[in-house]
Order: sequence, then C-alpha cells, then structure tokens
Amino acid sequence: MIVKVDGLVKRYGKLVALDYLNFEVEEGEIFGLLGPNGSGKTTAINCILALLKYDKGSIEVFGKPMGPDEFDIKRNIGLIMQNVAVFDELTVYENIQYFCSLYINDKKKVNELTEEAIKFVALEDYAKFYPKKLSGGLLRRLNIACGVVHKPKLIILDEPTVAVDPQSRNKILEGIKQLNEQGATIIYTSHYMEEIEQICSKIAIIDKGRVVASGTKEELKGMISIGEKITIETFQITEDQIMMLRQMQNVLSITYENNQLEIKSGKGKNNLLQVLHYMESNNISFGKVFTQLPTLNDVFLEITGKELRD
Amino acid sequence: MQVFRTYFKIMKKHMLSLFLYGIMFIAITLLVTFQIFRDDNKEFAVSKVPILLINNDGDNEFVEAFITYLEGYVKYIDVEDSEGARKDALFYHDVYYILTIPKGFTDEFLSGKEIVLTKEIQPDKMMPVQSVDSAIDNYLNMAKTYINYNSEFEIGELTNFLSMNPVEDTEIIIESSKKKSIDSAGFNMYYFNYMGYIMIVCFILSVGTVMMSLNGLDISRRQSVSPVSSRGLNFQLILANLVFVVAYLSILIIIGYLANPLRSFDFGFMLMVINSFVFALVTLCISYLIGISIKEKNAIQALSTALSLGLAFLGGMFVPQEILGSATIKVGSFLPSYWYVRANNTIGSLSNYGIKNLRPIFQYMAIQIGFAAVFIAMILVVAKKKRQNAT
Ligand SMILES: Nc1ncnc2c1ncn2[C@@H]1O[C@H](COP(=O)(O)OP(=O)(O)OP(=O)(O)O)[C@@H](O)[C@H]1O
Ligand SMILES: [Mg+2]
Repeated sequence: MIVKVDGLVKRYGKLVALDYLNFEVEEGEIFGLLGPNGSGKTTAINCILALLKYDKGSIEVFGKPMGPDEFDIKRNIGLIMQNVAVFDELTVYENIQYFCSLYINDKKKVNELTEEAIKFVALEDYAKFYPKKLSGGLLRRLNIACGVVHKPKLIILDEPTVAVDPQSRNKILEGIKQLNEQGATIIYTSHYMEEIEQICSKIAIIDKGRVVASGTKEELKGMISIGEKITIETFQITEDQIMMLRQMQNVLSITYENNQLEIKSGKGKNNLLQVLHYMESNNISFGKVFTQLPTLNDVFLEITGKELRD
Repeated sequence: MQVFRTYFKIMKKHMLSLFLYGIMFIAITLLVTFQIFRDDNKEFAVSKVPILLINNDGDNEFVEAFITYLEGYVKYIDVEDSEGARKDALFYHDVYYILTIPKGFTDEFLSGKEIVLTKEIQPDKMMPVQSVDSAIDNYLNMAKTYINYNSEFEIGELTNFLSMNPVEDTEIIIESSKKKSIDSAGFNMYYFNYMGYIMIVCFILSVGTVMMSLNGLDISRRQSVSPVSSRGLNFQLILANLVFVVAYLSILIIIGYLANPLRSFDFGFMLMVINSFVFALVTLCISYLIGISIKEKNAIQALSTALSLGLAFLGGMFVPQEILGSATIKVGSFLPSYWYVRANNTIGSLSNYGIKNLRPIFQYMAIQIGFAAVFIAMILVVAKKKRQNAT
C-alpha cells in the first residue's frame, strides 16, 4: 500500500471539507481523484502531505504514519501543483537544480538528475532561460520538472492542467503515463473527467468530502443503470411519439431540446436499432445520429443527482 | 546549505541596483560632507563661536568668572526670549550653540556634585561646537580639581586661581590633538547618518525581494513538502540575511573610513560602527517583515522608497534633528531611525568618553534593539499566520 487514507475529517470552522474520507492507493497505480470544485481534493492532498492538520482519521504513506517531520517519507514524494512555483530570478536549470538539492545532498548526483529532468520535459534548448521568457506551456513543463527531478516513488499532481492549452495538456498526460511506466505511483486530482478517464487505472469520485464511488472506470460505469446514450437530430417529432419511445423496452429516459432527441437506455443490445426502426416506420425524418457509452459524468450524475461541472 | 546558496544566487540578480545605490550614496555623501567640512574650517579660523547664553543661576562670582573666561572662545549673541526665536537662531546659524546654566548650578558644582550644563547645538557646525564643549569642559575640570584639593576655599580664591591659570591649554588642545578628532568625528557623523538612509533603501529592496521570492506561497509549499525541516530552512535564511547585511555594511563603513581625510580609528568611530550594526539589525527586521508580508514586487519598490524617505526625514538623517519642529521630533521619536541618528549625533559631539557621556548612547542603542524586538515579534506572528494558510 502506498497511501492509505482512513476516516479523514477536516473542518474549516463550520464547513466540513473532508467528511470521513477513505481511499487506498496501491503501488504502480495512476490513482485519480475526481470531484467538482470545492469537493475537497486539494484539502485531501494537503493532509496527505502533512501541510494541513486534520481533525480525525489517519494517513499512512509507504506503510508508515505521515507527519510533518517524516523526512524519509517526504524524500520519496514529488508534488506538482496547479500554480507554477518557480523562482523568477533563477534560470530553468538553476530552478530544477535547487529543488533537487532539497532532496539530494550529493552535488554531482543533483546535476545528473537535473539534466535528466530537463531532457524528460524537453527543455534542453531553454536551460539558460529565465521563467519570464518561457511560454505558458513551457512554464508548466518546468513546473513539472521541478516536482519530479528527484525521482520520487510517489508523485502527487493537484490539477496540473488547469488553464493549459490542449497541446500542452496532452504532453503533460503522456509524461505522467511515462513516469508511471518508469515505476512511480501517481495520485492525480482533477475535475476533468476526460483526463481522469484517459490516464487513471483507478478512480475515486469524491463529492462534499466523501468518496461516493471508486474502482476502475469500467467498474464505475458498471455501477450505473445507463448502458448507452443515443442522440438523434430531428425537427418534427410530436409529444405522442416521444411518449411512445419512452415506453419502449430498455429506455430509461428521454429529453428533447433544441431539435436534439437524447435517449438514455439501459444495458443491452439493439437499443439504437429499435429506436431507428420506430423513427423510420413512423416517417419521422432525422439528421445526425450518434451513440455514446456512459461517461464518468453520468456516473457522478446518477450517484449525486448533479453534474460534475456546472 | 542549498537555501543559503540560493539566497545569494537570487541576491545576485539585485546586485546591480545595490551597487548603483551604493555608488550614488557614497558620491553624494562625500560631496555634502566635504562641503560642510570646508565651510567649518574657514569659520573656525576667522571668528569666535556665536553662542546664546541663558543663565538661570543668577549672577554670582563663579558664574561671572566662567562667562568671562568663555569670552575668549565665544561671541555672546542676544536672541529674543522665546523657544521659536531660539530655534530660528540655530537654524539660520545666528548662533551655533545655546548654553543654559541651570538654577542652582553654582551651589551644586561647588559642593562637588556632578552637574550638567544643558545645551542645544547646530550640528552643521560640529567643529566650533566642539571647541566650545572642550573649553567648557576644561574650565570646569580645572575648577573641579581645585575643589578636590582644597577642602576649604572661598569662591574668590577659586576664581582667582582660575584666572591666574588661564586655561590656555584649551587652545593648544583644540588646535592640535583635539582638532583632528573633532573633524574626524564630524565627518563620521554625517557619513553614518546618511548611511542609515541607504541601509533602509537597499535592505528593503534586496532582502525584501529575496525573502518574498523564497517565501512565496507556492514556493514555500514546495519547500515544506521537501525533507528539509522548517527550522533548518529558517536557520539558513537568517544566516544568509546576516551575512549579507554585515558584508554590505562593512563595505560602506570601510569606504567611509578610507574617505575620511582625518581618519582615526578611535573609540568614537567604534561606537558609530556599533550603532550602525544595531540599526542594520532593525532595518533587516523591517525588510524581513516586508518580504514575508508583501506579495507584489512593485509594492516593495514603492514601499522601500516611501519608508526610507519617511524614516530618514523624520529621523533627522537629512535635516538635523535640532532643526526639525517639535511635532516632527515627537513623531520621529516613535521611529528607530530617530534613535539611530540621535546616538550618532551624541557620539559625534562627545568631548570625552566618561561613562556619564556614554550612558545615553547605549540607551539609544537599547531603544533601537527594542524596536528590533517588536519587529521580530511581528515576523513570528506573520510567519505563523502564513504557515496556517499555507494551503
Ligand atoms: N483555508 C481554507 N479556509 C476555509 N475554507 C477552506 C479553505 N480551503 C478550502 N476551504 C473549503 O474547503 C472546501 C474544499 O476545498 P478544496 O480546495 O479542497 O476543493 P477542491 O476539490 O480542491 O476544489 P478545486 O477543484 O476548486 O481545486 C471548499 O468548500 C473550500 O471553500
Ligand atoms: Mg483544488
């Protein structure tokens, strides 16, 4: 077990930010913490890192209780935050070198690792640049290099892709996968379900400081009743016809808005065929048709009754 | 010592502005000081020192003899009897020195008690002022010696003795050995007073910005998840700050010492050096506090300008304290810079290093240390708040 969070409670005055939070992260996982804004992801991370005192519960990292002075544990953790945390006065190289030197004493080793980290984020051409001269995407990469330069066994990323352009975002996600392949265990928080789905091998969905569901993405999707979402563009369907569709076998719900007919159906085969057959036989003309498997948003929606992103 | 080293790496980025400030300061100070210096020399050579004498002790033989004696060194000037008029007279250099003989002076002096004559001086005229000081000291010392060796004496005998033995030595002392140290002290006084200003500007700018970089919310989060204890981190930072301040100040002092044409490594100079280190400690605390509480680099620039001008003006670094209005002085006495300057001025006008003369100087230093203690307490509070909000 790399991280074990057990019954964690954290209050800010009257506000309960973490409400008996439980989860476990195993070695080699990319563990995703998915939850809307204000659900307590950052608070949980800060507690794990012993940056924050909590009211109840326990946290173990690498099998030992975590605390502010557990330097042996801290030595093996890398942190990447939402905000870029580098010195404006130091070059790319010097920044990475400095953060590495907080973890490693041997000067030669520090320089070796620094060069490796620069290669990893592909900033070789910018080693002598000051952060002010870097573009937003490059700056993010520097930020990541500073967090992983000491080759930590556990890397914690707290929304590292907020306000990042799609190209850089993909680079970052690929990088995380690569670090994982090299042996690091990853904890990744985000409120972007697409990202979480894309890279995480295990996911905990949290809301209001509690884990509402956890498992692999297949397991999570298996938990809910929706099997398929069908969207059909049509301009001339009547209320009665919608009623008819609703009564069809396996259809869970139907909405019709802006000429888009959205049908959620349960698990099973031939859901789409059945609907299209009805449309054709009733001479309802239609445009684009597509179907989707349920997303984590659907999981979140079904469990909590609200959207992940509002 | 990663943090220690990085402190200086960051400081290096501010080196140019520190260097320019230093050069500018030294050039201006030397220019101004030499100007004052030259004026002083001329006047000293041609005329007696204009002073205002306020005698609250009534006319008696001893006081009369004393006044007559002083006439050899000073020119008595009449000034309208009001606080404002006296201040003006000092300001416009009508008089350089206001000497007050307190009530009961003669009786107490003759019975062998320690008694101090009250004085106000024009610090631009340090050299003549000090010549008056030593004339007074010499006369009173001679009288004291007489009293000590003659348990039974008449005032007449004493004044006779004093006039029979005209304290000619005074002249010689002033002209030769004393003169050198008088000039040197005057120079040092100006130099060290201006140096206070440059310390405030430079320390807030450099220490402030470096501390801000090292204490930024995100950076400090990164540091607190690293396996370096916060105690170790703070220790390195404090050490780095002290090393920087001591080095910068030492350079300024050495330049000031070398620039002084009449340099002498005397006790007064040592006292000023000590005083400047005390004030550097206060300034360091202010800068540290600013560094950990301000988030905007531009705000630090503005703050360093505003604070340095305010502290320097109200403390009497530019305009001598004697000239500042009493309201300004009142405000000034709530500022550490005022006590720094006051200590410097007192050291600069010392005519001997008796413990009685030194005590106020150490008191002024103690007051500055008190200010430092207050700022350190504030730093601890802010640091604690920051730690709690570190997330
Ligand atoms: N220092 C604080 N003082 C008071 N309340 C806080 C503090 N920090 C966070 N909170 C509250 O705790 C709750 C959880 O916040 P947290 O930052 O952990 O959410 P999050 O899941 O990281 O959100 P986001 O996706 O926006 O980063 C929120 O309601 C927030 O307002
Ligand atoms: Mg957050």
